Amino acid sequence: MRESPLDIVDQEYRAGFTTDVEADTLPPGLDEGVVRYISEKKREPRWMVDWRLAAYRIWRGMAQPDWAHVHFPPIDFEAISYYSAPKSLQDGPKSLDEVDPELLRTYEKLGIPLHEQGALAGVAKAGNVAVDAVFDSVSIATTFKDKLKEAGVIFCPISEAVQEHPDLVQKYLGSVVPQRDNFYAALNCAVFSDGSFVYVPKGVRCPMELSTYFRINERNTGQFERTLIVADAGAYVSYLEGCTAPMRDENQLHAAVVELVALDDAEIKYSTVQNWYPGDQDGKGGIYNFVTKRGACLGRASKISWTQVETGSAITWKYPSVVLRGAGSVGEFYSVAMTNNRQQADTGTKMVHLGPDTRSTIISKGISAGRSQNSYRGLVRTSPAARGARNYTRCDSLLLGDTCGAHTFPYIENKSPSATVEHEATTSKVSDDQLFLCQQRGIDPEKAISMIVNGFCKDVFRELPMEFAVEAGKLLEVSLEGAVG
Amino acid sequence: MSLLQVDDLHAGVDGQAILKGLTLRMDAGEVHALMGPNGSGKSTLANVLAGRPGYEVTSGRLSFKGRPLDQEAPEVRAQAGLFMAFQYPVEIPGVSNMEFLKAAQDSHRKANGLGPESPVAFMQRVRTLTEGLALNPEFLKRGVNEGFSGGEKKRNEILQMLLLEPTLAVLDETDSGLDIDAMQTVASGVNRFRSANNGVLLITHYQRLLNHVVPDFVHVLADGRIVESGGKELAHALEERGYAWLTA
Amino acid sequence: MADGLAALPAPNWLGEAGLARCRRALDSRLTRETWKYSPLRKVTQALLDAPQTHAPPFADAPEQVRMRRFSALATPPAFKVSLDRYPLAGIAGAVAGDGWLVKVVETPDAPLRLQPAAPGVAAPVLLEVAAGCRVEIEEAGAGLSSFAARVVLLSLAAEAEVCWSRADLGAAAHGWSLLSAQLERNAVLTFNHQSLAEAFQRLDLCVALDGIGAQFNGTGAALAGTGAHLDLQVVVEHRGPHTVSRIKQHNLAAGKARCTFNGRIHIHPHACGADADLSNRNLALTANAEINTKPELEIYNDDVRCAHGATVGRLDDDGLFYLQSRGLTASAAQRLLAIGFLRSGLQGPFAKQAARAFVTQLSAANTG
Repeated sequence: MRESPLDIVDQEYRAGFTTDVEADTLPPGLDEGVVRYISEKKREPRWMVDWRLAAYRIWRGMAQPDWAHVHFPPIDFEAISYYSAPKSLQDGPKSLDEVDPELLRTYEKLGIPLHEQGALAGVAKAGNVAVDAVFDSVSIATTFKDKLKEAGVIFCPISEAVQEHPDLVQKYLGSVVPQRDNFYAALNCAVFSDGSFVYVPKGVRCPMELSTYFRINERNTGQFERTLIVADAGAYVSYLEGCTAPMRDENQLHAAVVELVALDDAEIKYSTVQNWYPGDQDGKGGIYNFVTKRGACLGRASKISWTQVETGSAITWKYPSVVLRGAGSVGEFYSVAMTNNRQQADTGTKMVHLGPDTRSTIISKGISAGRSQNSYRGLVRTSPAARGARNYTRCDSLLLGDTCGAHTFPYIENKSPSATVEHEATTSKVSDDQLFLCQQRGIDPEKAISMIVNGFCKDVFRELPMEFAVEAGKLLEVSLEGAVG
Repeated sequence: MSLLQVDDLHAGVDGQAILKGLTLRMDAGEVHALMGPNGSGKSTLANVLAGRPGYEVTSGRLSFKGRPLDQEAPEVRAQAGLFMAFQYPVEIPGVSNMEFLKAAQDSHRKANGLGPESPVAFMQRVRTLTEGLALNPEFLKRGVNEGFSGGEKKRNEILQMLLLEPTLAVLDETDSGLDIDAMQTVASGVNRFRSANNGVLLITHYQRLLNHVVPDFVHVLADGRIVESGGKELAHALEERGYAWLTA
Repeated sequence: MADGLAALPAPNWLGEAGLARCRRALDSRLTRETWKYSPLRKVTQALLDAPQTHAPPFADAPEQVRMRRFSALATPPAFKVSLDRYPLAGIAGAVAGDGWLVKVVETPDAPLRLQPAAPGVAAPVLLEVAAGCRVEIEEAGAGLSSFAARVVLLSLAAEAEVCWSRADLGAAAHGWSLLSAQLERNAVLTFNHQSLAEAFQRLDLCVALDGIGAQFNGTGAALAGTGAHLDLQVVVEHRGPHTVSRIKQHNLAAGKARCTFNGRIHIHPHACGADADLSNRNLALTANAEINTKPELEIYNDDVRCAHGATVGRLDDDGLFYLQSRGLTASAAQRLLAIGFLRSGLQGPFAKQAARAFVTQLSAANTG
């Protein structure tokens, strides 16, 4: 009989190829000059430069956070290049026809549709998703701009928004994640190069899913993108984010900031399928994914929902959060985090209840395999003004094998006498009996494990848009391979 | 060629010998009942046949449709047509029963060189089977055995048997813990299943089930060995006199 | 650093190195984390300022119990506690200067009564229970209004069983204490704790389930009135296979109070078959109460069963209405539900006394 049901051949990381384009890459190192250089490249107005420089000075005085349950050698921030752009994009392509075909092929290989016509397989069909593709430090293409414009929706690279919609950017940039929020956020404020900007005007339901696809290509570069999404009163938008990187032996830093703002009755649904290169079996290489994501439910009855499927990265440090300020506002966090081999994940959420009758739901599913460490870290806080606030948290861990770790660090801080907070956590494994039942019904162990893990994640997958859910299931299957039973 | 042939089988768990020279032969078209007191090795035989990890064959021979079983993975045995109805079916949270049934059937078809059945045809077949077993169709959407009552779990086992159409069905104490209505439903499922092309091995502690599913042969297992074989009347004798007279 | 810490002499059983380690650990991330909701500096200073008390831990100890002062021992005893996690244990030991080694060599006939903590820092107690012995220990707080601190390091040999009941029902009691236990094969520790607080009370409880089959059962109920700053920190280390822990803690805040609970279950790589269950429920009766809870899990083995639950809530509206519809006044109904909530966290010899104290307190508070 088979020794271990799970010891099957590793499948290669599918997005691990590199693209051979000539790049304009800044030498490693960070000082005010670099910050000014990035800003000049983007032809930014004065206020933007000043904002970046202020962030840079704050960052200089900060220390890297040490509280997460992850271990890695200190990062040399002087060894990273803070700006890299394909040469062909120096002046910004005016249309898709001007984009280097090598770049287009990259996205085609990844299954990301940049041509508006012709449905491609992959993350989504081209017909119903608008895509902003970010390659290293710049946005290379944004699709369906015109169609969105008709609906009044602004969807463009944030560098373009700084030029075209300075009032909106100035009003909301840093309003949710301020410059001094944390070490990596401060760094991002100083050096962010591109990312997406979305504004959905009053009462508009965005006619299609919006999506940004992030790709790190160049060696020794960091990616510091910045996303800002504002849903005005009564607006609705669903936003998807995907990420990949080539396989490289050295670690690469990804320190993004995402800010969401929902005004009265607005709703933002933000979904991530994170598949950064996780490093090899021995933990060599891979992305350090140190990301700050936060939404502010400013308006009454507004809603922000985060759904994440995290299968990649060598280290994940990420807590998509919601500040519930508006009365009756709703925050949600649905997460699947899968770690294998030497991956480390410390991820979770913060739900900060400030307004009355605010509600939040947290569903976290952690799957650990190999020699990985997987932690949920969460904070549920209610202020005295959050009368009648409610939170429900469910936090489940699944362990595959006895060399991995699964951890739960939930903080509950309650100052509202009429709040109700519930936290439940369980830990389980795929039992021999479950495996045997499946095998007795003719299902091979690999398929059985993947079915059971998918079942474990079901509560989260059903929150994902259809195309993404399918992709997430497949990704999980790939990540599971080689997991020792 | 016999459907199942077991010769002088010695097997156990964790180094503890349980089956000590069991011999049994079954042909297609036959229903055999295997009875015996607790601890006599009934469930061990079922698990050894199905290839449950941890159960070890120390000597003897075991063949199914003429091919030796001892090295086969459980799923290969299943795909070859060997089905085991579990005494304690395990729960698999989050995996819907429908999804599970489909995966099981697909694997059987694939092993026989067939592609998956069309979802519509599959769905209809499953629905018909569910109705026949007096199961609420809603239960197909629930997780495998998740929150099922004891009776529902057992009927689910029979449903899987009817769906997968094995050539040998080993029912491990499927009657235990059932009320009389559930027992009749299960029994009629088994009667519907039995045919000239397949065999059923009914493992039971009580004679009760055998009033509803009439066996062709009855065997009594005691201390790891078959000590008595006979026709259905043997079961009645056991009911009246217990097991003690056989093992004394 | 707190005044006087640098000048504190180290007793030989702690050593200069041990004390230095404590000083360092006071500033560590771990200590900051475990004292997130309580004033570490103030407590450290209070330890340094408090008088030392060397009274024997058990008065009239029966013959099965042998007590010796550390200073009377030929070789210094091993002070077995993680100073990195509990630097205050070392500091309290150094302040006290001396300690007590208590050995329970046979099962005593009657429960042992731990002397109420006197004001100040009590000499630390190393309590060793011999294999197979069964001991009941009762610890009733004195309800002093001055600061009291005590450290007890308990070790249970194979098959030993300790049932420890503790009541801090004098509302004015304030202080810090540590009970650290280490359990060998099949040893069982049961810890019942009831507390009525209107001042600062911090209890650190650390249980190491080292031997196969060792078990910890912890049950507690606390009523935090105005002025209370209650902080319970429980750490259970499952090191041996098939170790079991059950923790249930019910906290009720009635008045301007701060209630903190941290329950941490750590399952080590070799603890296969470990089974841990933790439940912490909290109720706030008043608007100015603060409740913090953190049920942590750290798991390094897949062959485990762990379940955790924490809730923060208010009295059940349906329950209140039901009682009112049967003629109870709103405040009586509220009191009744509150008592019911606390009662499910009561166990052991002090349970009745605690229930009475809770009723009296809730009636006086007139929370309705």
